[in-house]
Amino acid sequence: MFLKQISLTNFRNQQEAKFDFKQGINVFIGKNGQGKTNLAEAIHYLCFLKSFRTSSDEFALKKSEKQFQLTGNFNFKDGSESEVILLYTKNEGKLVSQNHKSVAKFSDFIGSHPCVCLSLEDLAISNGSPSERRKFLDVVISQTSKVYLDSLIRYGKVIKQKNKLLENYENQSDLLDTWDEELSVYCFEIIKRRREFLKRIIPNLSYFYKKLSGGKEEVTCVYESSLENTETQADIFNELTRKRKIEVAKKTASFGIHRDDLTFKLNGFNAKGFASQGQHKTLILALKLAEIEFMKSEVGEEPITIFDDVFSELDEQRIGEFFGLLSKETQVFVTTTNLDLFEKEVWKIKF
Amino acid sequence: MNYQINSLNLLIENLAKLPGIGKKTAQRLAFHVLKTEREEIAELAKALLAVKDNVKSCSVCFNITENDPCEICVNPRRDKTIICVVEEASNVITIERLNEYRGLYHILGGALSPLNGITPEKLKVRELLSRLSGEVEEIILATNPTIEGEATAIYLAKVLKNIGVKVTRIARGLPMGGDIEYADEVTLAKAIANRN
Ligand SMILES: Nc1ncnc2c1ncn2[C@@H]1O[C@H](COP(=O)(O)OP(=O)(O)O)[C@@H](O)[C@H]1O
Ligand SMILES: [Mg+2]
Ligand SMILES: [Zn+2]
Repeated sequence: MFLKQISLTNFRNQQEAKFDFKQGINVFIGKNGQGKTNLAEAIHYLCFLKSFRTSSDEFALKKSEKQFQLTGNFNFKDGSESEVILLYTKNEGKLVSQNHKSVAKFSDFIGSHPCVCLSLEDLAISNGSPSERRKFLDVVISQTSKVYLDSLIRYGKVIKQKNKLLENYENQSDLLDTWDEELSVYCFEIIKRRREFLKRIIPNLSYFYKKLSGGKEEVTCVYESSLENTETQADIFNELTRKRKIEVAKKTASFGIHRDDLTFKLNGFNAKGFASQGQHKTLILALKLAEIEFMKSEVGEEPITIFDDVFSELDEQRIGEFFGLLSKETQVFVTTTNLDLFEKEVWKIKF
Repeated sequence: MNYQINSLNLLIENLAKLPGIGKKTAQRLAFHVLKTEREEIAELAKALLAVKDNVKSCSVCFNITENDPCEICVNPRRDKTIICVVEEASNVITIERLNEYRGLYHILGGALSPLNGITPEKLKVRELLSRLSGEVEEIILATNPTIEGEATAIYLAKVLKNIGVKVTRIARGLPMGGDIEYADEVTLAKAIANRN
């Protein structure tokens, strides 16, 4: 899949703009503060119906305006086309249509326009808090599995109910059993898919890391569950029951996929607290390449890829190597202040 | 706008309290009322009050009815060995429209939700259990496929387990996250027919 054209109205610093893109590498080049990230953000909006920078759509609205609109024209492998229109109105929210049919449930849209995005904040996947790593898993897997996204949404709702019950808990163990039983249904679906995903990407992660670093370090990744035994739904329920005393004492749901984590290992050592800045960056780049491969094979379509500001500290040769590992069909959006870094034939959008 | 007509404003305010009706729609409806013949509006006002005065809940199944017990409960052709448990009376209308189900109903009056303070005591659970002494052989749990409906079904299944009555859950076959109101009727009919 690739994005052929985008139109923006009152989005961030753009009042009215239209851009044509090419399959392959598209470079947004310009000084800081010109609106390169804004354009990358607009592309992200069309795939995820939200920003990668803010959770509030209002920030993306051009100052003192009431409404922004984004229109994207996508082409798929099979020749079909998709026009996505996103209209945001202040105090009213978003309306989305695809090929002139309104999208009623946004979660149904997720994954229909696959996208892999890397910005500076994503470096926190390897050295930040566990929630960054869970977000990484959720964004990728949600695009490839409806059951995953559905389970995730329902899991979050059940956790809210369970927390309320724990807040005023008075030995209603039958009620806690009820919510834990429901929780274990979604928890099972989610853990199963997270593990499958890791199993699928680890060989590629390791391969790409070696390619990028030119070294021999082995990279691997382990799923760290807050529950010991998670083979079946019944296991999960039993674990939750065994840990109930702790949850009752803490008055909050403390076990389950919302507390799980990943550990990246370099030659057996935990990357967090062990790897250098450079190693972290290489790890994340390798992870994103592995993510692209995963999406391709799961969705059967090239994802759109966005790289915002992440190549600034890398030299020309490393960047060349990175893009050499991407397929020619993959559409890439890169923002940079330094075009010299991209000597190859690229489509330039000057700011 | 400072220009106001009191009785019109009062109508707009009251219409805007209805679910799904915003200020703009309320205004449109109010102006429509102004333009309509007096007799027609009198009919509407009468119908609104009649619903409040004549419709009550069935003392057996808690369905809405004008006669107590309700038509379904007293109908000799309904199968009294099966009870279908739903959250709201509106769910009964959805299921009845399918012409597939011949048993009785039990309306819980909601679903479990700690966030909304809905405990089993706030639902007609005790009343359901008290109906089980007689000829009832099967309970169909047709609570909505929301997380609260699912929890309610799980809870009821636990409570009913020890009573020796057959318990089936139909909403699992429905799309996740939906509402029984919106479930397409074919899916729902299939779910009811295939519940074994
Ligand atoms: N909601 C908004 N309305 C108007 N201008 C905005 C809005 N949000 C950001 N900007 C402007 O956009 C510019 C930043 O653009 P950005 O894409 O982050 O730059 P860069 O090219 O460095 O990536 C700043 O000049 C900022 O003032
Ligand atoms: Mg930027
Ligand atoms: Zn009745």
